[in-house]
Amino acid sequence: MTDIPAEPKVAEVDPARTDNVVLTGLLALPALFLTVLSLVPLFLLLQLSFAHHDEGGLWTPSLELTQYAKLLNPLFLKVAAFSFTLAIGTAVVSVAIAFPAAYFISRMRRRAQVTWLVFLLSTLSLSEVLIVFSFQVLLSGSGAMVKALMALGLMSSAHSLYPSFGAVQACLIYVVLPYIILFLYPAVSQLDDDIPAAASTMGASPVWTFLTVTAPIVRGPLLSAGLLVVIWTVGTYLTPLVLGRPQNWTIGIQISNAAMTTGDLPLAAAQAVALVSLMVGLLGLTRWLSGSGSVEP
Amino acid sequence: MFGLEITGVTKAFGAHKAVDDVSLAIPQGEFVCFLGPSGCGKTTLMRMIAGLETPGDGTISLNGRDITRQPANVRKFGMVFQSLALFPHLTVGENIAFSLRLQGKDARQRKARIEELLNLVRLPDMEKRAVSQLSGGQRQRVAIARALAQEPPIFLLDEPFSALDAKLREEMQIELRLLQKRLKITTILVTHDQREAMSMADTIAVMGEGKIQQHGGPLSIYRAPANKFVANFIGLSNLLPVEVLDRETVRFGANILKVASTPEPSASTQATLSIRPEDIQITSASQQQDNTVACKITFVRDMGSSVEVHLDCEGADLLSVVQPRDWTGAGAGDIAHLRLPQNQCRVLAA
Amino acid sequence: MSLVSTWLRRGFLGLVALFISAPLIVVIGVSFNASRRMSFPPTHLSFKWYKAFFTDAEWMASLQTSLTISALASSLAVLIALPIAYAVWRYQSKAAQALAGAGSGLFLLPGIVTALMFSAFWGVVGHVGRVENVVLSHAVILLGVPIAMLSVGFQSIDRALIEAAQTMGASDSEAFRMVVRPAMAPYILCALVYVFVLSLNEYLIAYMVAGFSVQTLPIRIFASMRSGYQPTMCVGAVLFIVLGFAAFSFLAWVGDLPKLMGRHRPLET
Repeated sequence: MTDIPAEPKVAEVDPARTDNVVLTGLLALPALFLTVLSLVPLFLLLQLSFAHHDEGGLWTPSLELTQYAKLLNPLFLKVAAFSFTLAIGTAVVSVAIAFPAAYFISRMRRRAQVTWLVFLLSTLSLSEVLIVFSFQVLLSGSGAMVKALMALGLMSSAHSLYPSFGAVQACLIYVVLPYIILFLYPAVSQLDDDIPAAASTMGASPVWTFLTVTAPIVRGPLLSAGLLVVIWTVGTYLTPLVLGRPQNWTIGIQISNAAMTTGDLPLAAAQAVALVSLMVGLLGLTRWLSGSGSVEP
Repeated sequence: MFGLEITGVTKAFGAHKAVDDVSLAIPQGEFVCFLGPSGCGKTTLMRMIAGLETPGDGTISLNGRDITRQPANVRKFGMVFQSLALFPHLTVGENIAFSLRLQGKDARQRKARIEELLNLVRLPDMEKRAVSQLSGGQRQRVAIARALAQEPPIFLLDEPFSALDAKLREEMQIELRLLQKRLKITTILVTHDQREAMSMADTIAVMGEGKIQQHGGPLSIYRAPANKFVANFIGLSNLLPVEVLDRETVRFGANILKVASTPEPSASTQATLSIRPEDIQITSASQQQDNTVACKITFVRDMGSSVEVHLDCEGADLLSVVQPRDWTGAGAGDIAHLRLPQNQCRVLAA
Repeated sequence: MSLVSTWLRRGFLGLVALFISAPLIVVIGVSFNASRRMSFPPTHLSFKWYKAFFTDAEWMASLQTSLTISALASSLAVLIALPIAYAVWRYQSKAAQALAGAGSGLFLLPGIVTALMFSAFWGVVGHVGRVENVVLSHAVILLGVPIAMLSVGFQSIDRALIEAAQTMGASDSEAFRMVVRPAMAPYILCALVYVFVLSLNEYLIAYMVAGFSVQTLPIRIFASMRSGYQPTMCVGAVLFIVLGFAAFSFLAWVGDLPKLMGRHRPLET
């Protein structure tokens, strides 16, 4: 420990004035950083979606709706609908697994809890690239999954389990699961154990208590978790690209194809804006339907 | 003036006036309690004295110097917080030496002062302990030692004993009072516990609705509450609606009662008569004396050391506390005759 | 709880653990596999891919690039998030709340959208394919993570601690240094590690912002996956898993991990 010398102090200062000076000092750099690196790019994306597409990956600023008109074809709408179905499916299944898992973990003894947390956090070190690769290995014709299914007699001849919708879905659930368990952990650990205990003294079974008492209390965090999953997975790119058939491809792949392969940045921007608008619409709808719940991470 | 002087201090949070035009003088070396129910503004007033809150209006001065706009870290009034606010990352010794480090005292000086203070609060050899290893009472003492380390001109305590159990609380109250007498330090203690205030303070400022309702010695406040609020809040009082006839006479229902004379004539004829339960005497029916009223007993609680008699008196609820040896043994439904001694009957504004 | 529900609970958690660890086991297995064939479980144990990884200049360059980007991005993100979260907590500043909202909002956009946004941004700025693009993009996109974590940390500090320090003569900056900083240290460390790990494994934004001129480890791994697979790529992954495990174990050792992850109710040992 070091000594901190006494500094001469200004006796008569207006606290409100000093607060403002301090605040400006604190927030100037973050404000500049966020303006340049979030507001400007966001505005650019919006502008780009109205721009005119020239040959060779070039574009000129304009205010035309050509790109948006292109989105109204059934193919794009089908891809969009598929992306949202996939994301909502992922949300429902991952929250259904993560909620009881987080609940059980939060009720463990400290050592077991810390072990689980370290384990979950460590799996975050696995890049989506490698998760996709591992699923390829596991689901391949000579992989462990096929061997296990054959041994159980659930599969007659060895063939690869991907590309398929199931592989895409399972992999996405895998990617979000540790995050969602960690996201629900604080809310679930705050639950008062006396409340389920009270339900059981009134004759409720553990499962019944869980469904009718515990789950409704954490409805808000569960809904937030679900929305978070939808947001994260609706634009997914890697997983459907590697593990899916072309009919399992998502808006994410469409956008990156437009941007990187075709070089049509305005179209990609319009698709991105449409994706975010749909997302915001879904968010608003959920909030309106539930009357509560926020999506703060 | 030598001491702390508060003049016309007001503090509003939005539309709510937490402290409303409070003036108070605290002489050097006095122990004052701010006593009142929760939300009465007592903590806000203390926080303004500490400099943690700035008054919207009014001035605070110390030894004749205006300190209203001085921030807390310049005033350096030692304060013990309700949560104690001990630093969890520091040991007992480091907590106590916090202000000394800020003053730039070297390690040797700090060590000497820590030892002195730990002896003062009777926790010798605890310097190296972590705060989390201490019991509730020990934490209390460390918080007191920490606040005293900087030799503050004013010592502030915000409900410091509320987390302790009853027995430990009484011990700490006595200890704090002895410590304060020894150090002769001006001390302000905020509490909602009248027992605590009565047993420790030189003077009590009873607060309600953002104002000081009465300021004075504990016994004078108890004996002569200035208004209904104080009569109700300090101890138990029977409050009866009466009609003022003259400065020594009131009418209660059909009864004419003699009361302690009021210094000034009442502004209105409607008033409240206040009398403490232990001052009401229950007499046998045969004796006819002045100032007696007939009541119906509704409920009797024999507490062993005293008997609580609840009565219905012309539609008003009344409580009398009598010694077991004076108790006649009547039960609910019986008629009792109460004598209300003239100098214990006080007339307050309605 | 009854015996049946205890076993149901254990069985369920066991399955979850198996599901979560399966890809980890595959990656570790392949990295030690003697054969070049993509197969699992491994046939013969060997360290030859580790040797290949550490002697290959390109893999080492990617590793270095990735570690540099993550270290810079996480430091920057925490550096920006800290004053925002502090101003929200200490001064209830509306401006800081707006900044926190903007920072978190960006994190909630789909990766593909932010990737496109930044690829267009750097294109217009005329600063294409540079490492600093990835650093800045990662820092701003992941900003929501440290803002959330540091806010949890600040909220766990009793405000009376600051006031106590003030009544003992501490100025705002002294109170920050002597009271807030020690209490926040584990949260800052936790946020650093978290952003570091997220940045280290991020593929899409790095790819679209800096293209093939900056080869981060995930980009190289993906390229090696597409153009005929090499077990070498799993070595980098194993390295990261070990690194992540070590970092989080360290956090659990020095700090109260359940509390860092947002548990408020005390947990007996």
